This record gives sequence, C-alpha cells and structure tokens, in this order.
Amino acid sequence: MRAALRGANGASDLVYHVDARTGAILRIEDRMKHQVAPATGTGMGTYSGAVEIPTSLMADGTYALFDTTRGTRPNPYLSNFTPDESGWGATGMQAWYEEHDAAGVATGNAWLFQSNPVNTWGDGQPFTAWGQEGGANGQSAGVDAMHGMAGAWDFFLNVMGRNGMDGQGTTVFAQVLETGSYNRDNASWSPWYNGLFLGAGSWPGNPNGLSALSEFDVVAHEMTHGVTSSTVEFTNAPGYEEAGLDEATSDFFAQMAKAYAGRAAEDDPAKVPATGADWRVGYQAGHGTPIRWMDRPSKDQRSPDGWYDGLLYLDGHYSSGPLNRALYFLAHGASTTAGADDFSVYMPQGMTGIGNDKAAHIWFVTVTERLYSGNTGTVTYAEARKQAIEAAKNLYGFGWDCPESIAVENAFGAVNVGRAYGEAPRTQVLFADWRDNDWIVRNHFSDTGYGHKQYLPMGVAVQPKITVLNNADTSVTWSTGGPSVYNTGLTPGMLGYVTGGGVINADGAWVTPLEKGWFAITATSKADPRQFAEGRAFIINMDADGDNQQDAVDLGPIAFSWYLTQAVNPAHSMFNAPIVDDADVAAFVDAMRSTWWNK
Amino acid sequence: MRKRSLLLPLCAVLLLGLTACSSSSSSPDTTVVTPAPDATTLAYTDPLGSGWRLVKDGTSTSTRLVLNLVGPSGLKTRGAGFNLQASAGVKFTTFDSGLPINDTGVYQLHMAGSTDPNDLQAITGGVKKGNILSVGLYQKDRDQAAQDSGVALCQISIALDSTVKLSSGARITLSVLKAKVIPEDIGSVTDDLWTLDKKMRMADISVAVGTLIAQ
Repeated sequence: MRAALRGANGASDLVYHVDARTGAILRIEDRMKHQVAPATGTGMGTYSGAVEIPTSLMADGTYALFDTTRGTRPNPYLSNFTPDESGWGATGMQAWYEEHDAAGVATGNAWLFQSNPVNTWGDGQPFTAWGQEGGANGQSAGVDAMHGMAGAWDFFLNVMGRNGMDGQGTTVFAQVLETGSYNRDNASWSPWYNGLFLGAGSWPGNPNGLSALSEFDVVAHEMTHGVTSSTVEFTNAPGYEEAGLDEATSDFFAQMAKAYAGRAAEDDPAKVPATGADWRVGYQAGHGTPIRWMDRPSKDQRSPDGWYDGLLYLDGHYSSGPLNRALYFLAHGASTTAGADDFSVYMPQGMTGIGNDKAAHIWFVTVTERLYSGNTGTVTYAEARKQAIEAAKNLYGFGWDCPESIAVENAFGAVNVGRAYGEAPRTQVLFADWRDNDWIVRNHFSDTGYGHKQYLPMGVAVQPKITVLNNADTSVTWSTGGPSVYNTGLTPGMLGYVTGGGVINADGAWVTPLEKGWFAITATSKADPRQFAEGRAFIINMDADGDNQQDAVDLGPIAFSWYLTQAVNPAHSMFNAPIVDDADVAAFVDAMRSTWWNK
Repeated sequence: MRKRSLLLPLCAVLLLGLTACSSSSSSPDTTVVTPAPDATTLAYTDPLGSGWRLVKDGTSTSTRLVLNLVGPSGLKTRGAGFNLQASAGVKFTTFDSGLPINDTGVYQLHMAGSTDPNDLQAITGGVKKGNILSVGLYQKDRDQAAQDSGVALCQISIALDSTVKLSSGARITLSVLKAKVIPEDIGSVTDDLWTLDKKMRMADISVAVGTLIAQ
C-alpha cells in the first residue's frame, strides 16, 4: 500500500511512501526535477582539447556531466539506481567513471562525474590519477566522452532525423576508464545497458596497447552500434560477412559525426560538411597509429582492401575493410594514381565521389530501412551493395539510375563487390565447392564456429575444389595460408599470408598438417591475380583409439565418452575439450565424409 | 585402362609366338585358348561358425551383395566398427543415406528419450586407399542399453567394379583388417576414475568372412 503526500520542503518535492497499516514512513523520494538546469561546461579533454560540453547545474548547486537536453526516455539500466538529492535521474545523457584504488584495481563501483562546484572539467592530460578518477585528470576522459556522445547524438538527430540511438530518445550513458582484460584496450556498445564502455587503455605500460578509448570517433563508432543494434541488427562474429558490415558502418558514421561536429557556423546544420573526416579510426587512441584506416584498410596489415570469398573468416574489425573503403570512395572518390592510398586495383580508372552528405544518407537508409538481419547472419556484402544502389536510386534518382547510384556501383566495384557500372562480369574465384559442396554447416548448438567451414583429418591428402567464374582460363595458383591467418610471420604486403599448414601441390592436392587447429589454403586466379579465395579447414586428429590409424572405428571412443563428465581421454575430443559432445561427433563425421566418402 | 591396353598387345604377341611354335611342331593338334567370360554377378558363401561374421542378407541381388555384420548371440554390445579390404574387381557401394554402411536399427544411435529427427548420430563410413572400407556405428549415449549382437547389426554392400574386368570364377579376397566393438560394460558415470579409465576401451573382435566369387 502506498500513499503520497506532497508539499514544499525547501528545494524538495517529496513523495512519502507510507505503510498504510502502521503509518510508518517507509521511504521519502525527492521528485523535484525542475531544479536541474542545463548548462554548458568548459571542458579540457585528453583528445578533444578545449571544448564546450553539455552539463547540468544540479539541485545541490554543483555541476555534473549530465545532459538533460539529450534523451527523453530513461535509461533502463540507470533506472535501477535510486535518484539522489542532487537531482540526478536516469533520463539525460551522462558520463560515469569506473572507480579504482590507487594501484589501478577496480573497486567494483562506478560513479557519475558530479559534485563539481565549478563548471570546468578536465586537465587535458592522459589519465594517470588512479584512485582519483573523479578528479580533474579523470574528468578529461569524461569530457571526451560527453563531447563524442553529444556530437554523435546531434549528427543522427539533425542530419538523419533519428532521435537517439534507438530512435526513441532513450538515454545513453558512457562509462569511462574501464579496466579488466576485455575492457581496458577496448570500447564497446552494450544494447542491454544502452550505453558505452570505454577502456582506460594500457599504453604506455603496454607498448602495444592503446591510450584511453574515449576519442571522438571511437565514441561515435560505439554510438552507431546503438543505431544498428536497433535497426538492421547485424550479427557481429567471425564467420559472417555481417560482422564487417557492422564495424564499417560504425566507422563510417563516426567519420560523418566527426565532420558534422567540426562544421563551421555557416554550414547547413542539417547536412554533413564536405570536409572534416580524416578517414582514420582511433588515431589518437593509437598514439599516432590509427586502429583502422578507411582509405586503405590494408595499411594495418590485416584488413583487406577488397572482397574475396573467405572474407567472412575475419573478425569484423578486419572484414570491415572493403566496406570502409567503399564508403570512403563513395564520399571522396578514387584516384588514378597507382599506389596512392585512394587508388583501387579493381578500378584503376578511378571514380568521382558524391560527397559526405549524400554518402551518409544513402548508407543510413541502407542500414536502417533496406537491410535487415535480425542477428541471422544472412546479410552479405553483395546484398549490401544491391540495397545501397537501390537506396541511392530512390533518394536521388526517383527510382532510376542516377549519378549517385552509379557512384555506389563504382564504389563497391572498387572494392571487388560486384562490378563497376557498365563493366563486364569479373573473374571470380569461389571456394564454396570444396569437395562436392559438402561444407559442413552450422547444425547444432555446440557448433559455435563458422558457417562456412570444413573438418579434415590430419596428415591426409585431400583434393580441394575451386570454382572460377567469368574467365575461360580457370587455372589457379595454390598456396597454404590465407588472409585470415596471422599467427606467424607476415609476408610484407601480402595481407598476412603465411607458409606452413601442410603441403599443397600445384594441382591443389593438399596434404593436411600434422597438428590440430585452423588452417587455410588459398587459390588465386592465374588469369587475374587480383581474384582469389581462401578456404579454411579445422584439422582434427581422428585417431581416438590410439592405434595410429584414422578410420571409422575411431568414432567408438567418441561415442562412449559422449557427455561423460569425468575420465575423458583427451584424444576422444576433437577439440581437446574437457567434454565430448555432438560437436565432436559432427567434426568426426564431417572429416570422414570430406575425405573418404565414396563419390 | 592404360594397363589393360598395354597388356593386351603383349598377350597377343605371346599367343602369336605359341602359334608359331605350334605350326613348326610335328604334332598336327592345335590348342585353342578360350578366355573365360567376364564376370557379371557375385556369389557369396557365408562363413561357418557362430562368432562375429559377415553373412549374406536376403536383399542381395546377383549384382549387389549386401552383407550383415552379426555377432555371437547373447553377447551385448554398444556399437561396432571394422575395416574391410577387398581385392580389385569389386567396389563398396552406398545405401540410400549416401553412406557405405546401413543402420539396421538394433543399436540405439540417438540420445536416450530423444524424438528429435535431427539428433546427431554416431554413424559413418568411407573407402580409404587400397579399397579399404571403414565403417562404424555406435550408441553415443551410455544411458541406452547394450544390445544383443546375435542379429544383423549393420549392413555393407559390394558390387562389381565395372572399371576392372574379372573373369568368371575369379575369387575376390575379403580381409577384415581391424574390427572393434564397444562392450556392454564401459563403466558407469558413478564409477571412480580408475574404474572408468580401465573399462572405457574398445574390444577387439575377429570377424569371419565367407567366400566371394565373381561369376
């Protein structure tokens, strides 16, 4: 039973929760919200430098990184916290920090940047003040986060007409200076929290680490994940081309938001300026080395510049390469200068870009209206190209071919997704048919790997098959390794090719390696060396009964170890796992089928 | 094919040589060599005994031999697998499932209590280099009871290999190179580790094979 008594009590508007039977006051809730007043703070961010940031003058007379002008619905996670006397609430963009002790160990608590008697924030320096995250040094990350969040929010609202990430105005918050092995050198969007978690970085202690992950385009990248996770709902996992589409979409709109945030006073506030994007992601967080290059993604030695069959094996942060470059070409154009960062071997004649604003609108419509995955993993690069062309036609050509739709075709053609406008069909190398199309498919719950894969026994000769389309010369050059393998020495300029992984003959006959794990082989068209395909296989040791033979009899030990929770012989698991289940049965049966089945 | 084309002219030369010798002989008799006709059917005689054996199934035809793996009556097992090598002239064929082994339904290959048609089953087979058929089918769930082995546990099938001509009457060698079963007692999940480790073993078996003649 609840009863409410309202009445002025100084600066408060109190709701009394009273036990109806005893009359005891159970809880007093201050609902006086109107005292929180929007303000503009003076920030000094680690990356953004001196910037104005949205803040609030709170009910207690102090300031907080709390922006009631952005967000009209409460954040569902923050709603779990009880409002305090400062006037804080779950509605309104805000920046929090993870609390640590003086040694940098997380205490498990997180706090809003608040209780600042003056509306000046940050010292602009890299964070070092462990244990005092709420102080000026720690505030610098909060300043960057607020600057980035507000910039991205305004870009989507004013240019794309989208109210918040979910389109419903739901409050977004950021939590900065995150630590822990997953979060420290990472930034992430959580759809469950409707918020961002931005790492503190491990550099310079870790020379290979990053600086704090609160840079503008990192923040805007994560904010964009909030848009796509409530629209197209890409699956973001290796094994799906969608992963790359997801990451590139975030990279691209982060650039657009950055250009928008840097617009001049005279620029149209409903458009993305023609300049202002640097096409680098996390340049400052990488202390001078971007996390990704959009103009030429392969500069990171991992991300490909063009599509190939097998791209899906890459993590989305690398398979984003072709789309990142396509969107760069679409906005910026491609040159005819061989070797230049904006030169494409797939389109040596170059192309003219259509500018940031049109490119942004075309891609926004594509991912929010025309593509839909629903986390099924079914959206491909080819489908993205098709829908982007249609989006351009509808936006700028009344449904017909127009310069903008032609530019989309050319931009995708320049990254080997389909052909450019008017171009003849290209040579294409496909690995989809590796021994009579018997790729195993994801077929049960424990099969968490790739949807396009093959199990093979170790140390046996197999004959992979390749399909070469659109060229009378179907000959290919075979090699071990492939773009998805990065564990050993890279061959400069070859996108991470490695040697090893068994022996492959000129005709493609592959003697598989004598060790377990993922291995790749690559087939490259002799007629058009730009075209290649990577096939990937998981090599298993089928000799479960230990008699030095791999045969069907070995399925027996797998069967009697199935779901046995103790005394499992490691040889009975095809994956060296502590439990044997259907994944082991499936891997064994597939390897048997791929290698020794009658044809 | 290439071997045969090389050998046939050689035979012809030898035959001509013999004919020449004959013609120079004082004997007026000549020997007419009549090659055996090519085999077109298969005839299989079951092995004797009541142990593990491959016996002819009633669904066999003159051109396709279906063999059942049968074990000792009363012996309970949970699955079996074997490697069977055949000499040249025959090939192992597949069943409707596409596999070279056919489940007769004795072994309970699905998870206990499962009615899911997609429940993954531990059955596989293939033909390795040397014309070696390797097959196996096993109960993956130890909660399934062991089955009596004295019935047809699984089937394989053999047919003439059209790429290799066999003379009628030629004997085809079938050799079981390896055969194992999962015994009834593989330990219980409640057993101590030592006992489990000791019992979780495949048991070697000896499989008798009959006589196969091409006709």
